[in-house]
Amino acid sequence: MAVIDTIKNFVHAQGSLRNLYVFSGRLLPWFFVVGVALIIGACFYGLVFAPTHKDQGESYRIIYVHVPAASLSMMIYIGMAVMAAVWQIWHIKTAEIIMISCVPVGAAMTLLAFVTGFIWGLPTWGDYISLLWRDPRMVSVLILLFLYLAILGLHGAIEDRRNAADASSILILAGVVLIPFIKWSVYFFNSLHQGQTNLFYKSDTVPSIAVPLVLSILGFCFYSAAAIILRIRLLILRRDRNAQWVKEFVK
Amino acid sequence: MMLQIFTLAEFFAMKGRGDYIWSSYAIALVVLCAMVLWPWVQHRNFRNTIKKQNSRTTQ
Repeated sequence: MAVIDTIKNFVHAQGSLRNLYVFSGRLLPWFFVVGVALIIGACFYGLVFAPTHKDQGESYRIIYVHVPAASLSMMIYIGMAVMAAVWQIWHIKTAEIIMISCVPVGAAMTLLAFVTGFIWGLPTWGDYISLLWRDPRMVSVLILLFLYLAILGLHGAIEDRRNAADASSILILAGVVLIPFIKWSVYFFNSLHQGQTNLFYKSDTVPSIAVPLVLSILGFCFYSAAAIILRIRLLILRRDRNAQWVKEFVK
Repeated sequence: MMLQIFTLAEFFAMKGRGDYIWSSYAIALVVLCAMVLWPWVQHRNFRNTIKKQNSRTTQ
């Protein structure tokens, strides 16, 4: 019971914008430093020490930015959808702030996944037309990017904050259907993109290729969390700029 | 763990795939930096604006 009470107290405390601003400010430097260190370490390991791939040669080294960005584009969307559901059910304003703060970061990750996937596809598949229109994974990721931009546009276009949050959360929840489609599009359709690689249970990937990839995914998670926290703090300051606590805090 | 490169030129050339690899990493660097710098600068500017407003009202 003590644990449940502690969780309840924590959730209630984070419901206040002031507490969320202070708490996120404490997390921010740790997330940023750990994220940067992991990304730099993983990319250095992947570029310098990881062996050449038996089929793709050296071009596979794009994996250390492409796969983390692609994973994060979907993970952030799922997190955003959870916050959208929380907003729809309980109308908690911190959920709305977190939801909207996730959108630009998710869009940036999707853009990065799409562009690096396109660049990786050039030497591997060798055909621009196939890259853009004939591969279901590429097309579905492009649709996800447009969805992120549509959410951003919709939220910015409606002046009333509550209506804007309502409309964008409904669009986010409707768009969740795209995530399993992206994930399994390589199995549903005839695709140029490779299927899922099991990093730990099969001999698909040699450990020295897989280890920096896992580290890079972790690094991207921490770094994206830091970017989302920065946006949360900015949004809280804008919303509560006339509040007494902001004036005291900024002194 | 074995070093996969012998000279710096080989490392940058990446057996003819250097253009693709380095352009991907450069784009990643730009996107990752923009993701953090943009809100950080806006946050700092906004804090300064509030500070100025505060000092004006106290005067």
